[in-house]
Amino acid sequence: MSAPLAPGAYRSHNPRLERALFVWAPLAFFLIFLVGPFYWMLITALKPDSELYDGSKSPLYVAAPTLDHFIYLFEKTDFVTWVANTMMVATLSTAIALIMGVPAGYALARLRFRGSEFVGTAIFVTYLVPTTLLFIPMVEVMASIGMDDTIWALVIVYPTFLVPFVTWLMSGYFRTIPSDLEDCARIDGLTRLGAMLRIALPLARPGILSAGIFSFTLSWNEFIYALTLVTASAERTIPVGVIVQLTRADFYFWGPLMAGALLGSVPVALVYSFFVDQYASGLTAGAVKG
Amino acid sequence: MGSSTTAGAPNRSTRTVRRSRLSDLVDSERSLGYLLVAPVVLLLLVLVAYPFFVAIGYALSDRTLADPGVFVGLENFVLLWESSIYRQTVRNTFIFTAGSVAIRLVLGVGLALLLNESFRFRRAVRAAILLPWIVPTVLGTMAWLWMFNPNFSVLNYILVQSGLMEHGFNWLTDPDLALFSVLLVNAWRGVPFMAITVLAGLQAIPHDLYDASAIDGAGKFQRFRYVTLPLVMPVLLTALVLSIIWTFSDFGIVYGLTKGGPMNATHVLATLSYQTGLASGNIGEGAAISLTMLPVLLVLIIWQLRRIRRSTVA
Amino acid sequence: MTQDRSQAHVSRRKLLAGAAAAPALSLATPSIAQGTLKGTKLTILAGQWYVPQTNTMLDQLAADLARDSGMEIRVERFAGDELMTKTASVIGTGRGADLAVGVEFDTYVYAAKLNDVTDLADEVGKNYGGWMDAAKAASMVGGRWKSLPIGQAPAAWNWRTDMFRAAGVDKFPDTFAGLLDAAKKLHAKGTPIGMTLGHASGDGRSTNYPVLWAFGGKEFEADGRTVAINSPGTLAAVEWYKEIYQYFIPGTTAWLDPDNNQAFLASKVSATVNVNTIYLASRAAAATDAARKNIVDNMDHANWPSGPAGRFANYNINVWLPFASSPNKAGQREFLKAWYSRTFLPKWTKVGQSYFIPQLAGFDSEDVWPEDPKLKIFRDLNKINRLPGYGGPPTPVAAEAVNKYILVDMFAKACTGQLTPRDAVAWAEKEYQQIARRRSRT
Repeated sequence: MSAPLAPGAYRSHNPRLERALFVWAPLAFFLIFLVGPFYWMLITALKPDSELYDGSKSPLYVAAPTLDHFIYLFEKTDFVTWVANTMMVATLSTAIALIMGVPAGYALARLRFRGSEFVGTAIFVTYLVPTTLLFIPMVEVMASIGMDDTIWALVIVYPTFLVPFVTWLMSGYFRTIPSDLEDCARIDGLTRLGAMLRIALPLARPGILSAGIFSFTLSWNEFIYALTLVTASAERTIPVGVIVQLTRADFYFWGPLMAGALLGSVPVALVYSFFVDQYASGLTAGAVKG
Repeated sequence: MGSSTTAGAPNRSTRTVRRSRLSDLVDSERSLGYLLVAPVVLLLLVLVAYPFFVAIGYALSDRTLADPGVFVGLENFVLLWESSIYRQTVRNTFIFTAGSVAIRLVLGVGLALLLNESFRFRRAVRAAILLPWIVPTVLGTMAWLWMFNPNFSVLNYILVQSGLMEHGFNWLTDPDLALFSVLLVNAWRGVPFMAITVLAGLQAIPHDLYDASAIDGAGKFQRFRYVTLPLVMPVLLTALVLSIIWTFSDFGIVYGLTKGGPMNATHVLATLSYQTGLASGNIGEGAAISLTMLPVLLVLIIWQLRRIRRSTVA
Repeated sequence: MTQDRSQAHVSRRKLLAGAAAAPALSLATPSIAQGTLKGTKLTILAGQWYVPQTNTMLDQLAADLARDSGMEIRVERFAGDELMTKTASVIGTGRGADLAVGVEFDTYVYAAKLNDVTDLADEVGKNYGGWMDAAKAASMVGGRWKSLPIGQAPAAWNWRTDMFRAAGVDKFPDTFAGLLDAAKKLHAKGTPIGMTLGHASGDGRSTNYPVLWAFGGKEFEADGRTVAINSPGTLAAVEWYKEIYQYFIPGTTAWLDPDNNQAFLASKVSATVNVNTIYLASRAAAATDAARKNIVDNMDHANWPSGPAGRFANYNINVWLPFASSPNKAGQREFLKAWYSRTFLPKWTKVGQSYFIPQLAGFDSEDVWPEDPKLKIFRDLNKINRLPGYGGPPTPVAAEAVNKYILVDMFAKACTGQLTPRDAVAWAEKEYQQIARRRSRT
């Protein structure tokens, strides 16, 4: 809550109104705008087909809810497989991106070596290259090493757009952490590497966490490579699998589609909610010191 | 800085005597530096730089999927400039980016400020507002597709039933409105990221500063302008640049909602490039279209880098 | 659908015995010695076809063939646009699949990277009474067959007889003027018609080319290169479209493939152009869903009206694309032979309820047509197809124009008033010329 006010300081005339105006009203707006569609997705996922395609029925509530669409999703499609695949790819890609990107970010922030500025710029610049430009040559490169038709190709390719991002984020973050503690440790006898591993990385945990979360989400959502580099149905990720099995020629199965959308996001959001508090407290530890 | 205690530290002399080449390696700034960035550089050289130059080669040729084609110099670019569809796409992309980023900025900062207050269910709200960002793009887009549907739009239903309008909007039918609709959905996806990132910056601001300003007599808006905004600016700018980059090269939303229609009113460079390269098989032309995205993004990145460099000269 | 395996074997042998004039390159049985293909792989990219049994029959065929030949066969399915992307990716890298379902343009765009299957095509033609012209146009490049046509998906006018009658129209109009008149009446009654004018890869073609050609317009001259779109015929087509657009249900310029289905199934439009999926969907649910039953009972299919230059239609033709990069050419051929064999193709066609109809002249007298009277018209529709690119053959230039939705946009621009009909035609001409110029080297 607001800090106690000194006498004479600004005092609102009606704290209740102020709260409604500045907190509850905007909150309602944001919730409706951001989360409203998910409510609607839920309704659609629970609506039987007869209600769904009846233009005269209200889309805002469901008269006779049914779990048929969810059941269809689990029984008649490979949804569970796709979630597992997407999870695996996202997790591994994120892990690789962090293992490669965090030390690189540290090096760019802390260590002076010839060409570091150039390397830093070059890494950031690769981030700009759009996927639509790269993906045909990329598929050809993967084909030439025989990796063009497997889900493991994604684990190799995703880091190409995750690593620059992580490096960038972490180098900025490390710059805001004072190097004093590491200098101390080095005087104590730790090597630079040791200082990085034992001092800097633990301090950077919030930053690493946020880099990890962002990377996971970016992997979770990727579509073009997931389509072109994977063929086997059993190896597909959610975006690709859903389209093929939940649409049939010119017919979309809206019920299961929305069920899939919910199941593909709500659990992840729940997991994220725990981390949001954690990393938010320290992402820009040094921002204030500026 | 602080005093270093040697209590518990291993005997320094044995350590220094045991210095091996390996510890030289990990101790020297130079070699450790190279060592740590080497994997990244290698990955990017092989999987980004190399395909990138191959793609440039494509853009300078008339290659198609079936035919390797010949070198044609800048002809693709010249033809693009003469194409009304391309020019319209460029215009669309800028409007799309500017509009979406503006919305993300305003709503993202607003939401961040909101989430910085404490209120009941804050935790739940923080989780809930992440949903647009988490839901796989293709599925979220399909949900909006159905919500904008000319015949079944739930949005139009609400508008009409509540008496606000007689007919609903032609969300995806009217060319101008369609562009707005796609950028709205893009903003919808991006607001959570902006909000969470700015929130992190807000939470790093010590309360004492707020208290101090309150004592000085600053009102809510003044507090925001003179305390909050300057301190959150670095994080905000970073999030802003990232958002611009992501929005400018966005593909999934337009592809899912309109495939570039109606009448190319919503084509952005990424979707046009995809349609040209894959659907028509014109790899050369598709690559050229993608390449034209780079100058803009490059300018942005350089500006951001300069800013970072300036801020670290401390 | 899934026969007992031994039965399948037996009936195949019976057929062989009975087929007196079985040609040497036998399509009656895939007679492969166990072992010649053993250990090889075959990957097939297919779409998710509307009628479920057409998909399961393909799977069963693959399974049977795999068992008989020792090949490892995989059928991987992708939805419409994704299938196209996947195919393009295989063409581009030369890896990933051996066969794919494509559309007729793919034959032309990818000709250099497809296997020559002329001998197979000739056998199939001989077996089934000859290929129709549209089939030859779809799969022959430079006199050689580079793909094998699977069939076309005819799109008919789906119309609500009850709504039409209520508006005073008893039969589906047979002239364009009649259709315009009907549209006016239906609009006045609150039950408008609608045609897809959005970037729909399926329906986007079936509603535009027929109008263009019926009024005498065409895209190219016979050489396939000279752009001929700017003509009085085209202008007449555009003007007709612009007039009838006022009476459409709003929103058609944003319609993607599922939208006209959804609108019709929700009784929001009284007529639209679509394949038989609307009817099949209603029929399937009629037993349990009163609304669907209502639609089934009150809808029918009709042919395109006849215009000044004739009666035309345009459908997607699906083809089997045999990739030249495939390491298993023998396997490709065995699969194709199995597909076109007498034990498979007629049955598969019938099961599809005229969703896909092979363009084989002999089928007209065979038992491959649905019993349902409301689906009978598709048999006639099968005969009037013309391919985009007319007056020339379907070329990569024509393909590119289709993929860029130039024609759709031309009509849409005029209808919405963004451009006058004359300007819209001029715009289209410019776009076509640009494409032709760019492709002039290939």
